[in-house]
Amino acid sequence: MPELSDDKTMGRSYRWRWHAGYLAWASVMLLFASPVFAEQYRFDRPAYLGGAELLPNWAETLSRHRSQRVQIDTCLADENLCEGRGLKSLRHILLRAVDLEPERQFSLINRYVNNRHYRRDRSHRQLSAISEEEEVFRSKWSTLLEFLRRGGDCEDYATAKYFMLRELGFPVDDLRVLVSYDRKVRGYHAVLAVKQPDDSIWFLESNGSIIKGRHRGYRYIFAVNEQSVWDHDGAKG
Amino acid sequence: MRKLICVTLALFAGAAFADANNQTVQGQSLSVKERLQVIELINIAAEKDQVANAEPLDAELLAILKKAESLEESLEESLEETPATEEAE
Repeated sequence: MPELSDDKTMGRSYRWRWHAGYLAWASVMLLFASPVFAEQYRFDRPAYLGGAELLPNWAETLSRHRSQRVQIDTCLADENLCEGRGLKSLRHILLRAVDLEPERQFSLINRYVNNRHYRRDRSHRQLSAISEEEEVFRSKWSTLLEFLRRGGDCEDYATAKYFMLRELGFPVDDLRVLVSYDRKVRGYHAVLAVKQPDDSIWFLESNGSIIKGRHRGYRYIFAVNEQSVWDHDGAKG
Repeated sequence: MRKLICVTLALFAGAAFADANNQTVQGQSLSVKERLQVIELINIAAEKDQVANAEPLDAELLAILKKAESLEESLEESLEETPATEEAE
């Protein structure tokens, strides 16, 4: 086998370095261009759309929950007055959770809610209060009591966690039901986002996990709490 | 160098096309009312299986959940004796 001349060796080595350079550069670009690159959710993003009353379905759910809170309060005060499916267990969870540290409260409530029956919403025709035309709605938001009675789908899991943490005294400003587009399952998904004292966000997922910090694979669409609606998709600012 | 620029441009173009159906660009010109219309019709229904590495719970939390479960079961039994009407939704 003939030996390579110095020029040929140097040429080969030079080419390899260029190839390695291309590869490294392309990898970095791919990482940043990739749609699954984790986008950090922040509560201070300027995406405020308006008050909660702007979304009639959500506002009605809040209103129903307010009227149903009498049942929850009565049950919390006296176990014998817990009427309805799920109320006794809810009472037990809330009373035992109240003395736990926040992280353990999240774990307990996340698991309690996730263990409940998954039930997909039926689509229904309804007059939209926004467009004032009859539209096909596919998502129906449930109150905590409605969810305990019948189960629900992902937005109901997130909403139930929201109402339970509110019962435990978490401030409204630290909680949001966050709707995202999940690129992995190719569908819209809701999670409860909780702001921590260090401003990081924890996501209480319906699959049993609690994601602390960045959430991979989500494109944030909108968020709601008792007071406000935030638009993360159309109103970038 | 030309190759490097081509690769970079191709990557950015690819990312832009991949993102073309997410309404980001279109959304910026929508009014509040139009955005609300879009939002209220979103079908939030992604179902996720429980992950194997779910948050581990300690014995105390597991005991609380077990007790809650037993309270549910005792209620279910009493409901079976008196037929429920809730499923008629």
